[in-house]
Amino acid sequence: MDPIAIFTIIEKGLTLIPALIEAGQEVIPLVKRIAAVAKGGAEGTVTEDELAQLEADLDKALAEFNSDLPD
Amino acid sequence: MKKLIVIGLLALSLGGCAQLQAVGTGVSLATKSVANPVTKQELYEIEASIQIAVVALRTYRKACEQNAVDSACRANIRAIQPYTRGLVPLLTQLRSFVKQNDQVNAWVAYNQLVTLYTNLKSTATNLGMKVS
Repeated sequence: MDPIAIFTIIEKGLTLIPALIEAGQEVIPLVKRIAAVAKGGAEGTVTEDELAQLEADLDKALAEFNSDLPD
Repeated sequence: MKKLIVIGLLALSLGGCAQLQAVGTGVSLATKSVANPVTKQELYEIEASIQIAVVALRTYRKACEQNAVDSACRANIRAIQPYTRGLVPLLTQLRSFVKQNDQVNAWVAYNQLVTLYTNLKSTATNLGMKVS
């Protein structure tokens, strides 16, 4: 585990929050994610549930961004 | 006014591309080796980094569809999509290999993921998106 990587993830996630709020996007999942990254960084462990939830969220976000743009 | 703030913040987030840089740092552009296995914790960190970037890109896309960002946004999104689409199979492979503790293949998938990100960063830079 790289503490610098952990801090960078947290920092960048926090940087993004104001833009999401202004754009009317849901920020609670991102905040929970940042908290989970911080918790995992402190304890050095991540639970199967946390990993599964993250993967589901990431897959959904990727599918949305990757879909063809409407004409 | 609010629309302008959104544009400004998105420009700050995407033009500055802090979150894309986070992917690079989260993935820590160093290639993996036998002495440096890919753990579940590290998999989580990588996926969290990528998710932050994709959430920002998705927000940019939604703003683009509402004509709330720059006129080149559609071309920018189409230029980035081959890379984000390439993430999908690599993530699937990396998840499987890490969970099976197949470290040799995990290193291969991890290193391919890093290479893909490097190419994404290069493309974003060429589009005028500062990523480092």
